[in-house]
Amino acid sequence: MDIDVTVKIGKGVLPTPTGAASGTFGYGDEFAGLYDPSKLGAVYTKAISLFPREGNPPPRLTETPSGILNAIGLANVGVEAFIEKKLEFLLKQSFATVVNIAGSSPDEYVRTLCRLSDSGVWGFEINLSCPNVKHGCLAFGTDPHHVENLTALLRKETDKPLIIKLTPNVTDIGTIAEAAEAGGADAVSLINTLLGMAIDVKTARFKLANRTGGLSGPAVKPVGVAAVYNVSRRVKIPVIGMGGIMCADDAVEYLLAGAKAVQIGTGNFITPGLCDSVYDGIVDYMKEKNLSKIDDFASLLQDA
Amino acid sequence: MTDFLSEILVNEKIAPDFYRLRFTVPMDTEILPGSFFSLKDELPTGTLLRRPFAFSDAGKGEAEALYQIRGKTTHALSLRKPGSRFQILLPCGNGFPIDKIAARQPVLIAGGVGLGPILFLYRSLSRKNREPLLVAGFRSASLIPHSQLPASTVICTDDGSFGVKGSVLDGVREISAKQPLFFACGPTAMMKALAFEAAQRQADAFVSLEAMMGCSLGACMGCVVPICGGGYKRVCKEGPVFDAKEILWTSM
Repeated sequence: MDIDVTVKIGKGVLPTPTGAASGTFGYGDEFAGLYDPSKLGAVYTKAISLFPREGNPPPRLTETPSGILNAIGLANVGVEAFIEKKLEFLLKQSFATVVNIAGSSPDEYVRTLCRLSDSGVWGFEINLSCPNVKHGCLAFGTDPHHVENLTALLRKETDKPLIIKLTPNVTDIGTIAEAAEAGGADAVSLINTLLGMAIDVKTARFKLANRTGGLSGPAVKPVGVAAVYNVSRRVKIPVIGMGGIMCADDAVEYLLAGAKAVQIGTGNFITPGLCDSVYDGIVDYMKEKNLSKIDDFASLLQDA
Repeated sequence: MTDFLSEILVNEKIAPDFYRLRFTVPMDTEILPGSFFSLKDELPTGTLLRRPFAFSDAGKGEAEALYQIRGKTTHALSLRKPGSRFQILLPCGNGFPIDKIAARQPVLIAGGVGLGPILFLYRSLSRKNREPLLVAGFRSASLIPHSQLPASTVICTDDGSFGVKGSVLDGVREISAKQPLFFACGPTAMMKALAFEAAQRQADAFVSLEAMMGCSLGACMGCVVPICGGGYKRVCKEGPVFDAKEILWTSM
């Protein structure tokens, strides 16, 4: 049986369902030689803002049980340097380049997206969910009206795949996903990190300079799987699942829950070639279960 | 950069909680003093991220690291037997800029487990007949790994139980070096003090810094240090060795 691993998102097609999550894979070049680009569906870039951002003061990172807590603060080179220095490498690759965009005002999101609309990138992932900056992002992403309005503003500016990245730090993520769909999004990706805090009891100091950070890694996987399950039953657009994928089975779990594609984040830090083995594992699972396309996963899911 | 399945050749205690690890590395990988590798812990310790370790020697398909038991990963590592394997990402980071030495006297300073990369640099400079001076500091006499130290090492102890009483800077004051060029690895407080000492002497100092790391290859921006004049640099990519003048020590 022929297996079709492609995933349709709006007017675009991802070559495979696996992707490297924003903020964990840089701009793709840092991991060069450590993974097989032909197995990767997409690189979701480190968040790009209109102007360069230094990010938060250190310490920015700490480890917690089965997870990591980060408060990088969207450190990035800014859209102009991204176009000049980072884009050429990405556009030469077989995978889709999805530019993750962050901003502190709707105007910043729009201007950053417009600057990239003719650049040859495959599509956009709009970061409405970073918990580590004071303005924008999470402040927009927790309010369905803001999400719908901002999505609609961006939709007017591009025909390329437009993915809205959602935060789990809300009462009902389904409501936010519906707002993104109503605004014209082609897909939603979830979950971004969960707001967390860690304190060193010996020194009575916060572990992170930002005090709070975003929790990722295996600790958040059940939260992600539940969110994907819920959202995929609330919207018709594809759901891209992520949160704690450390092996192929974890990715399959997301696909069974209703995701059409997955992103690997924290797992890249521990296993730089993880995207390869996740892809291989998805294909093996499809062969074993006689699935011919990614859409077939959801029909397998049964009650306990 | 390679993610390599390495085999442990030697894992021996050299002082209390202080170990020497010898392991295989790819034959064709150039490993510089000051660079490091990132170790993936396959044991059920409950830790998640890899841990960075500085090389203390390398050549002919083998390499070494000195490590101290500080947490679950290093404790589990200390129990590993020769023949067991682990995954290492290498080589990471820059290395000590030995081309900056020119006519100056290299003075190498190690604090505690910071000895590893400093010993690597010492051996490398000795082979090049650069006659480096070595100052090593420990908390107490019982913690000194004598088997690893060259006979000429100026040893300092915080409690005065061996060698010079005081910090490595007290040791540095014991030796006379015209036009010294400092290379150091140790606790942040030690390197901060060295940075000020070097500035007073109008000498250069290159320090190897330590930071919690996410990816160890420059992607996650998690391990940054503040830089004079604003902004940050990544310990894993632009470092771990920095010109001490570059670091904004008041924020460290």
